[in-house]
Amino acid sequence: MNALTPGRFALTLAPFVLFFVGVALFCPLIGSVDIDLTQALAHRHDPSASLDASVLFLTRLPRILLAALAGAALALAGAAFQALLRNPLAEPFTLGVSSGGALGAVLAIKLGLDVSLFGFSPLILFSFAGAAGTVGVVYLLARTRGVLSTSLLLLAGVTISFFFSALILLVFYLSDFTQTHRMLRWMMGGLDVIGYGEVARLTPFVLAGVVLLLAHAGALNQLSLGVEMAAARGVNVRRAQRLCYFAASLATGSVVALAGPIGFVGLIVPHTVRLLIGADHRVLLPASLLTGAGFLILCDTAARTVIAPVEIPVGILTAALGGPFFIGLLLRAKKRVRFWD
Amino acid sequence: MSRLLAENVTFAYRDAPVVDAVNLAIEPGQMVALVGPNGAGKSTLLKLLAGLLEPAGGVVVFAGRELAAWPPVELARRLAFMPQEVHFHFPFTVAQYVLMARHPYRGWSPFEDQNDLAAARAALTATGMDALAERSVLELSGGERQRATLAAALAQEPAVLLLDEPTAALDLRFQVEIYETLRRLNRERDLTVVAVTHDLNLAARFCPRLVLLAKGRIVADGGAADIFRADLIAGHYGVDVEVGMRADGVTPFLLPGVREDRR
Repeated sequence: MNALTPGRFALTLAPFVLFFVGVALFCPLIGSVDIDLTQALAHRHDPSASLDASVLFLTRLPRILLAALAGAALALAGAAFQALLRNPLAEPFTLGVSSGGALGAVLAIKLGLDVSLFGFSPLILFSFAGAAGTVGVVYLLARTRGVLSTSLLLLAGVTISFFFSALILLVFYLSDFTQTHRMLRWMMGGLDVIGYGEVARLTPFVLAGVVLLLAHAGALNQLSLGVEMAAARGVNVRRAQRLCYFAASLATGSVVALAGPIGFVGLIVPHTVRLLIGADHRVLLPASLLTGAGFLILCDTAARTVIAPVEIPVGILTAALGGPFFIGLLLRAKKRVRFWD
Repeated sequence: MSRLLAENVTFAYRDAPVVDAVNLAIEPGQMVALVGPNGAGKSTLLKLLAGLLEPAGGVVVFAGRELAAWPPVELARRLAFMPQEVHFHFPFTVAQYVLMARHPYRGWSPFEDQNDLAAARAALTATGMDALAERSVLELSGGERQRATLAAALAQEPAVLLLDEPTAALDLRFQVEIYETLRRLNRERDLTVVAVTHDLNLAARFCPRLVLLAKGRIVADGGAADIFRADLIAGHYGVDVEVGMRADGVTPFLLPGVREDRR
């Protein structure tokens, strides 16, 4: 029997750190344009002066940072939601965060608003408001005597998703072709940013969620066994549930607002990591975070290179890669694990 | 000292009280069985004693302090609860599952120390789960799950252990083994045990004190001889029984529905 010691913790996470660092160092060098790294690095203080430097520092790096941030947030939130809902098939969008965000986004496009706040575009503001509103409504619906019921959360979240999907279709129906094209493109998810503005503004939201969730890894272990068990071990169930729910939702909602609903990362990454190193959330959460970041960088690199110069929206790629992978995983798991009771 | 006391405790899920003005004192070192027909309020009373439910009326006091006034972590180091059944959804190993019960001792550190490891090892040995330590909890049989959960409760190193039907899923041998383990810890380490059970004979065999609940009230409290009275059982369970005596002349036993006039 092994206890989780700092040494064992480091040893378990080491391969995941290596994977992430490797991907993050390698992917900026790949793209439709070949760049000269020495040239680029020489102009790092004034990237716009050299083509190599501007491609590396102004086009690729911001995008890779955004992919890392989004992938990390989605994978971590997915693992947290799976524990909170005690359901291995949950993911960050199960409770309607993405449909709320999408409704906000399509409304912003339909209304053609031109307001911005603290440098955020109306599209981002509206989709964040939609996601946050959904999170709040689902929370209020699922709360009984201060404790969140997992079955009520699922019912409320899924119902809200369907309701919003209907509203989204209605907005689609009332929109012209240019608008619907923009809406559809948004819903495919994409990380195509120029410069560091968005990344810098997204960081505090994701970071807050990440810190809160990592601090609650032990509590999530207990909550995954049920509310009663957690309470009997001294977990403050109400506070832990509330903090984890809002932390995971905040991270998810801010990613959705900026990059659209990028599917499957939040489902397949925690699952894969669990197969590799087990279910203990104290290692599962940080490992999922690193794997999610690396995985989304890889997907986005593929998205911008496979049929360059045309870009595939990254959301299509994660789902296209993730779908078959996950079905294979389910078929494998079906043989040895009882999935539901 | 670590006396567990229910004073005039009432609890209702809707309107009808499930636990109705119950007064009960569990003294340190006692081993008590909570028995009674289905719906008598046994599990609810146990959860009230564990602080998992808040009484609608009255108070539960542990070691001189109202349960609600205990910091949850402090309470969890002294009072452990074993639910009827734990549903697993994730592939924790048995060892991880048992070590998780050390949560109240860890504070803000995410790591386990030698004390945690020693407590978990002792708990696995006491429940005969050593060999299964690295097995995934998803692959355990019903009885193994129950023993793993008991091991976790023991690893919490409580002064008082509250168990909700600890032997419900177990065959005869493990039923006896679990109660023998509990009785041994009760004798050797002064572990206070309160177990909800439907098995009256097992309760009589291992628990010096039985508390009979019916319709949310305590209707009898004492040794097996005080509870095992044909009229008392027939009145509250609605079934005729025959009471016998084991060869030791101390422990009675119960057989249901064998009276001549029932035919």
